[in-house]
Order: sequence, then structure tokens, then C-alpha cells
Amino acid sequence: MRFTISLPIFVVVVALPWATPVALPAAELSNDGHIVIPSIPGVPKTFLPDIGIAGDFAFERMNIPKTDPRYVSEQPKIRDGQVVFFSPIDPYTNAQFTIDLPENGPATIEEAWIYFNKLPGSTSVRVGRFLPRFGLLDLMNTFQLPMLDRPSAIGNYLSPDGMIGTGAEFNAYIPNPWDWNLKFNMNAVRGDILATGSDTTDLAYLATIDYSRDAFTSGSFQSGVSVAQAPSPVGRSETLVDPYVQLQFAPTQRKIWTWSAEGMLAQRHGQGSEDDKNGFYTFLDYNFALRYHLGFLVDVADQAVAPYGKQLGLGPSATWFLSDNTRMRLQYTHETALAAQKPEEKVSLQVTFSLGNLKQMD
Amino acid sequence: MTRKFFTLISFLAMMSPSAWPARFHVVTTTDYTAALARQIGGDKVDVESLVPPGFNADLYSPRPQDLYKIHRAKLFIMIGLNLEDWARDLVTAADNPNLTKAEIYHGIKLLDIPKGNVDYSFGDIHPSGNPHFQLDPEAGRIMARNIRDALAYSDPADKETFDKNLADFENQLTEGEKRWNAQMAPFKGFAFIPYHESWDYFAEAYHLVIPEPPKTIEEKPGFVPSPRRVEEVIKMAKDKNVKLIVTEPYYDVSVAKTIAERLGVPFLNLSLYDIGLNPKEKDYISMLDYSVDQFAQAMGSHAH
Repeated sequence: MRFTISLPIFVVVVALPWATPVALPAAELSNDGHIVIPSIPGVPKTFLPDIGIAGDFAFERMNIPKTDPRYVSEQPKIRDGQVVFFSPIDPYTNAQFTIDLPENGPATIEEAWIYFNKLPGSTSVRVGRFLPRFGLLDLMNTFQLPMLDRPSAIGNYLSPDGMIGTGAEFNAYIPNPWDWNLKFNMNAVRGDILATGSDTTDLAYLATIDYSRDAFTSGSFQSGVSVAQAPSPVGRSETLVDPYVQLQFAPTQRKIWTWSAEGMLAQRHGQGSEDDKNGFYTFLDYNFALRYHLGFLVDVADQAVAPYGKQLGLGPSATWFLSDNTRMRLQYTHETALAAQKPEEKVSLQVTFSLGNLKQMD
Repeated sequence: MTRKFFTLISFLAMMSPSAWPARFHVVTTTDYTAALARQIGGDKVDVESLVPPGFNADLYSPRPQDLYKIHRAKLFIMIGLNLEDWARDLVTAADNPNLTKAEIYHGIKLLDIPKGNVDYSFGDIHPSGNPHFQLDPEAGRIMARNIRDALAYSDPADKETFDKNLADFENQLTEGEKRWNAQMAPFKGFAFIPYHESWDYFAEAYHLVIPEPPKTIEEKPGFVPSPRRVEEVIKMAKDKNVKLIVTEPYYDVSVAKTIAERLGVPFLNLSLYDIGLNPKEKDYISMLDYSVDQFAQAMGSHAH
């Protein structure tokens, strides 16, 4: 017999923050009558956080002249570089710290938060500086997106890099008699989240209600709506409503279709006839042979600032995961013209790596 | 509109947690661990697996509802050994303070533990040992005992039921072993090459040979072999009198098929995660019945 060891109880109660705290061993009387309090077994004395590193490089060619205000340098560039640290810090709390390393300029703290995940009623709270949940894409860094850049339909109203806010976040599963996976997320963050650089003292509020379920045996369905009320970069304040849906059909592990659609309804109060702006994008991704993706983006968006108008963007892309940690993407982007501008054509080659478990690529 | 939205979701969020269902939920990663948990847990547990049938747990990308499944579970059963690296983040994000997590590889005599330092250049390697032991009946016995322990830890009141169900399972397994050993006996010492390191425990259980090199069609785990590697495998397979090429549907089947055709040997394409998808694989025992049968048929088609 190869396996003759009698097994002890092997159950591992994971030493993560929600685990039951280790009970202190009882104090005993030693032979000389002194009280002996044993040390706490299993408590690590060293700080060993999970560390992740990510880098995103791009090389672009476009048809618009250098005199056009939309022109950006075609030189190869580092779009994003990050070092991420994550660790439980006590039985009730996690913490994450992300340092952003731009190509030019000083390193900045992109995220620094603590997360209390053992609160009554299966709720949790995050406090600090973080990426708040808003729609489908906002939890992702730019390099984690399934397309090269955030679609204009979203980026025009949030920011091309997504939102980063300083404040507090509340999460809860919503009890319901149907056992549906309904999740609620609410954030109260500093008011400059949309109006970067403004000195507003108002808070911004963001909330999301999300529903998801398995579908087609091995696929999934997810839908929800996010709402924000925030000081506006133009006008007095801004209301954003962002409904989204994502459907995944996976007949086999080597053929996975994912369709996403997300809209943005923006109302900027105090803008007169330019009050209401909308955007919508849809993205179809086909993941085949495990490591390859073909994608197609259709992106329709009102410009959020002058010159106003509606733009249509089309973006076919091909992505190859060289490994779980390295990805290469080629994307062609066509964007229709506004007013007298020339339509923009762009070809981008992006190379991304992400080491560690903390910033997984899509 | 905004105010109504916030009012609605605040009301829903404040509803009493007592509305939550109070069943003993067990969540597993794979189909065969779910099958084992159902058999040992019987009617005391409600079991669901995260990875859908037909999907390889090693290559799985979690779906949105997986978080919720873990969130409401009392017990989470996984294989361990980095097979389900994706599960770690799920457990952290699921916000379930009452969850017990059990890794059921403990006690199994592990194969393929790499020597020396391991880094990303090794490919998608399992640094603590090979976790693909589901086709080894003895590993199945140990996994079932571990699952019994985990269930009894989470629900001590029903330990007797779990003990009885485990005893029934072990009797079925012992009977099965007699069948499988008899079926595989004619192929003792036969050589075959798998696409991935999924068959090492099976080979050891039934005294088969996986020649090394090449050991697998893949040069590095998780990476499609290059044309140069394919030629190397064909040459080595000829030298070592290989009688069967084996792959699984989630890998590049065409490469394995080409090698088998070039060698003039049979080719077996068999999913190791098909309980519930294949009508002949209803539980762990019938999964082994079917797998041994398929392997013996493929090997036998060459022998005769």
C-alpha cells in the first residue's frame, strides 16, 4: 500500500482576516509558583505582503498631423507602471498600497486603502484612496482593459484612466427571497473625483447595484446600474447613470464569447443647452485556443467639452497572451471627425506584463 | 431619480440578514470533488462546484457568481497545490467570515515535485507537486476521507452519517479497484505519452510507463509545443516503443493527433472533468469506470 498514513484532521482554517482569531493558550502555574503565559502559536512576526508588478508599453502610429490638438507623441512609451503590495494586517482587515510609476514625473500613490471585511450583516467597508466601483470597467487599470483604452463613451465623463477617489466604500449583499446574487456598493469620496484639480469641498456619491448569475451551463450573465452625483468639471454638478450588461457564452474552454455593453447618461447641471450628454459602447471578445482573443469595439459618444458633437469609434483588436503574465495586443482604431477635424486612424501595439496575483489582466 | 435609486438600495441593504437561506452549503472547485462531497455528505449538504463540467480547473477563469457561491458557503473544498490559484482571490474577496477552507491533497503521495528553485521560466508548473491525481483510486480514497473530515469539522452533529457514507464509498471503490486492475493488467509495462502531466498517477497505479524524456508532449507545462518539440517527441516516442498518445479536449488536440498519426499509434482524447456532462460519468466511481474503459479500449486497439 502506498498510502498508509492515518490522517489527522487536516482542515485548514485559513489565516485570513475573516478567520476566527487564534485563542490564547490558558495561563498555567509554573513549578516555582509564577504564572506562565505561553506565546501565541502561529503568529508571524515578519511582514510578507503579496507583491505585484505591472508594466504597460505602447507604440502608436496615427494619421493626424502634429499640429492637430488630438496628436499625441508616437514615440514608444510606458503607459503605466505599478508596484502593488497587499496583505492582511489583522484578523479583520486587509490593506493594499499601490505605487504608480509614470514615464515622466515623480512616483505617486495610486491606491492606499484598508478594507474591513468582517462587519455585521456580511457587509464590508473600504477606507482610503481606491478605484471605486462604477459600471463595468472602472475597477480596472488601463492596462487591464480588454481593449487598448477606455472607450470614449465612458472615458469622456469619468476620465481616460478611470476614477480614483479618496473616501469610503460600503459593500453588502442584498438579502432576497430568491437567493439572487444582488450586490450593493456605495462610495462617498472627495468631490474632485470628476473635476480633477478643483478645490470643491462637496463630496461625490457613487452607488452600484449589480446582479449576476451563471448562464448557458458554463457561461455567465451580469447586469447592473451605477449612479453618481458629483461636482462637475464643467457646470455646477453632474449626475451620471451607467447601465451595463455582460454576457458570456462558453461552449468549451477553447471557445469563449464575451459580449459587453455599457451606456453613460450624463447630466451636467448649469450647462444650458449642453446639459445632457450620452455615450454607449459595445465590445465583443472571442477567446480561442486559450491564449488568443479577437475583439471588436463600437464606441459612440458625445464630446463632453467643446467642440461638442457625437463621435463614432471602431476598434478591431487581436490579443495574444504569451503566458499568464505577458500579453501583446494590436489594435486599429478609427474615430469619426468632429466639425472640421480629420477622422483619426490609429494603429497601436501594446505589450503588458503583470507579475503576481494582484493585477490580473483581462 | 437619483434619490429614488439611493432610497431603494438603502432599503434593500438594510433588510434583515435572517432572510438568508440557512442551508449547509458546500462549494468545491471541481466536478469530481463535488461528486465526492455529495456522496459523503448525502442529504445533509447542498453541493455546487465552481468549474463547470468539461472545463479544466487549472485553466479556469472565475465567473461573477462564483464570489456569491463562496460568500454563502459554510465549507469550501479545493484540491490545493496551486491547481486553483484563481480561488485564492475569490476567497479573499467573498467577504465570508464563517467560511472553512479545506485543501484535500493532504496525505496523497505526491509526484513531480520539482527540485531546486522554481520560477516563471518553468512554465505553469505546480511547485509543490502534481495535483492531477483524480484517476488514481487510492488518491480518491484519501480525498474522500479528507472530505469526510472537513464535513465533520463543519457539521459535527452529522459525523455518523458522513462516516457511514464514507464506508459505503470505500466499499464501492474497493470493488471498483478489482475491476480496474483486471482491465488494465494486460497493459502492464506499456508506454504512452500524455499531452500534459495529467496521467502520472494513473500510470503509477496501473504499472504503465510514461517515458522520460519526453514525459509530455508539452515542453513546458501550459505552453503549446513548437514544431521542433513535436519532431523531438516523435523521435523519442519511436525509440521508446510508445503505444498510445493521450490528450484532453481543453489542450491543443490537433498536435497530439498529428503525433499519433505520424507514429501510427492510437490516440485518446479524454476530458478528466466530465462528471455531469458525459451521461456515463455520474459520480466519482463511474468517472473511473469510464476513464479506465476508454484507456483500455484505446490501448487494446493497438495491442490487437
